[in-house]
Amino acid sequence: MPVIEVKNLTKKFPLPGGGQLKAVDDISFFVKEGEVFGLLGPNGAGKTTTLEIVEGIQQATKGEIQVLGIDPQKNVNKIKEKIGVQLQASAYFDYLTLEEILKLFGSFYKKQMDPIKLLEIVDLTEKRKSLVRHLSGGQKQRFSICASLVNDPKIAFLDEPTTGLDPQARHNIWEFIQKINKEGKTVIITTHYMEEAQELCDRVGIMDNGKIRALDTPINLINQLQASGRIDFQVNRKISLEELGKIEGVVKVAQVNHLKYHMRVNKVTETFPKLISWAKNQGIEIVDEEVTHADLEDVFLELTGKKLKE
Amino acid sequence: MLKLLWALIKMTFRNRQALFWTLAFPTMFIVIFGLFDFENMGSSHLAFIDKADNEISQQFKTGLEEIEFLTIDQVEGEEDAQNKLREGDLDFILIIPEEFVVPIPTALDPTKLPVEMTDGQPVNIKIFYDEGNVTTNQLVLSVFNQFIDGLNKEISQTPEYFAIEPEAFESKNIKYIDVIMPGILGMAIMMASIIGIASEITKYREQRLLKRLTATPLKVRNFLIAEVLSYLIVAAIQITLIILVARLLYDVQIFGSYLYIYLLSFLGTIIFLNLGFSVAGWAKSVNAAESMSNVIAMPMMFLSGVFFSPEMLPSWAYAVTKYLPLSPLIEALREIANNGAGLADVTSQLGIILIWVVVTFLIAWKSFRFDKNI
Repeated sequence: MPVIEVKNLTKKFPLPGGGQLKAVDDISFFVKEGEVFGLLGPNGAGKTTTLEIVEGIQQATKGEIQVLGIDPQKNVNKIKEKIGVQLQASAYFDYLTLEEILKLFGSFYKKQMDPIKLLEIVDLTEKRKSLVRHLSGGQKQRFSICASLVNDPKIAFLDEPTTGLDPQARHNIWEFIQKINKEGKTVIITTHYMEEAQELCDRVGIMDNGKIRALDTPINLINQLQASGRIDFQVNRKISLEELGKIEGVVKVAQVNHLKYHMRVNKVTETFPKLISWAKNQGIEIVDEEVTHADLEDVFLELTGKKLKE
Repeated sequence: MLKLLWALIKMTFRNRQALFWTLAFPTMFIVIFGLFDFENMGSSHLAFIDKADNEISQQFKTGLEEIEFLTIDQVEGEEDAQNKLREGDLDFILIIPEEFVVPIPTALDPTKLPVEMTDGQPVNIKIFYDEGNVTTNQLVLSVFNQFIDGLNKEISQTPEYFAIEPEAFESKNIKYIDVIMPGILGMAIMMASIIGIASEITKYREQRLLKRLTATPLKVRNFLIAEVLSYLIVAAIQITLIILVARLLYDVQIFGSYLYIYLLSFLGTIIFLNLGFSVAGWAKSVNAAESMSNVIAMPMMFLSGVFFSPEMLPSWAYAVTKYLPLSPLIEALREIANNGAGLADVTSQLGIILIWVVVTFLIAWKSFRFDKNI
């Protein structure tokens, strides 16, 4: 049973010079209980607006929303009790310690968790007497995640939980999110890092310009690509591109430089052995071969014609 | 909500900068202004022109002679006195008119009670003074006022006043710091409230903390109530500290009820919090909020009589400034602290204050938005 159902959601903002901005444009999706669901897209795609409408912080212009069977447009307080929210780049009180902030936020809810246990989840127990401003960027994000769990929510909404962090800190956060998910919480994240969506999410909605362009598991999204793999290699003598293109499963070939070639293929696992045997027959020696799977970046590129990263 | 209130107060006390402005700064003012010593500054020279020359005017003169920093100079007539005042040899001229007569009190005849009145008009005692000498004027004028007040009450023989007046008369030795202290009380709560709430709320908005709070079941109303309560508690601490320092260092007396001082200050705090919330509604950033609060607070600080009586402004200016929210507050606090007034004596000020409470609340209600989307 889905814990969240969104049907034909649209959100328009009035523009200062007149006219309207369609931040979210008629999207529908659902989130299953216990999964990590991701909205992947560049800044301004409408991810945060979508999330905040589902959380009940913003009002929808149009559309039907159900969170745990409740409509956030009508009964927002009931939902707020049951969900945990981490906002993009939001701060906490400057002059309270971590423990005090968690206690204070807990006091807003009927159900509350022990601050020490919350800090344990994100490995910050030692910092419980510190102020937020004395934390590093990664620690702040970790704290922000555990602060969204004060009411032991069924669903945790994490808006860009790793933005601005270095890779080490980011991997760290992924671990915590997986831990939270394993404890039975449904997690919804937004991100503009495709590695993050790929690594963390059971299902990903790819958003651009207020629309969801595709929604599936990361693997399915990639496999739906015409070319789901790449093979890069060097050879000991020049070969004809035409010949290479004739190998079964090859979508596109290109000569990178003198003896270096690049191929896009349907399925690397099928095409790579064929390339090897073809080369053997031709007496060509292949060196420095590199086989990579396509990733969500490629999916995004194919869907929108744009690159996710600038 | 109690937890939130407690957290807010805790935060105030951990924020050293806020603490400086709310507590240390006004206390510093008290300490510094208390150092102005009028005995060392020389006394004020007064010419006492007694046209009535009767028992009561003599009594008035003797009373004035007893005041440490007043010296009564001999002059030859009104004209001579005015020349001396112009040349700076004199600070004040007091002219007691001939009508300053005291009918023999006929104790039980109620028709005779407003004895100082002739033809239903009060007898005016003329005071000439040098406008340039602001601080001494304030002081001496308040001494005169008390004197006349005392006389009025004594003459009209209002029984309930009769009992307390002699004691007050002896102990009332109004110093500059006594006059300044209520002004500083008003200033302190104004600064702390307007600037405090405006910059706090704007900061919370900038940091998206307000939005974070809207994601919890906490009701906006409860958050605002907790904020207001925390500021009232801080105001109470401010008032207590200022009065305590003034009292311990300079023996400043409060002649009226402490309860009224706190009550009026709380009403003032609410006005200034409303203004602060309005600023928070308008301002887009913390910096903007701070400068807007200063634009509102600074003129009041100078025009509402924190350091001197606004009555010394040109009358057209006073006609305007006396309606500023801080003016009636300081006036009323001064009446209570220096003259032992009760609430009934400050009804006009209280009226203006209450009107401001309502007006500023409506402004705040209109302009304040908890959070702005986008």
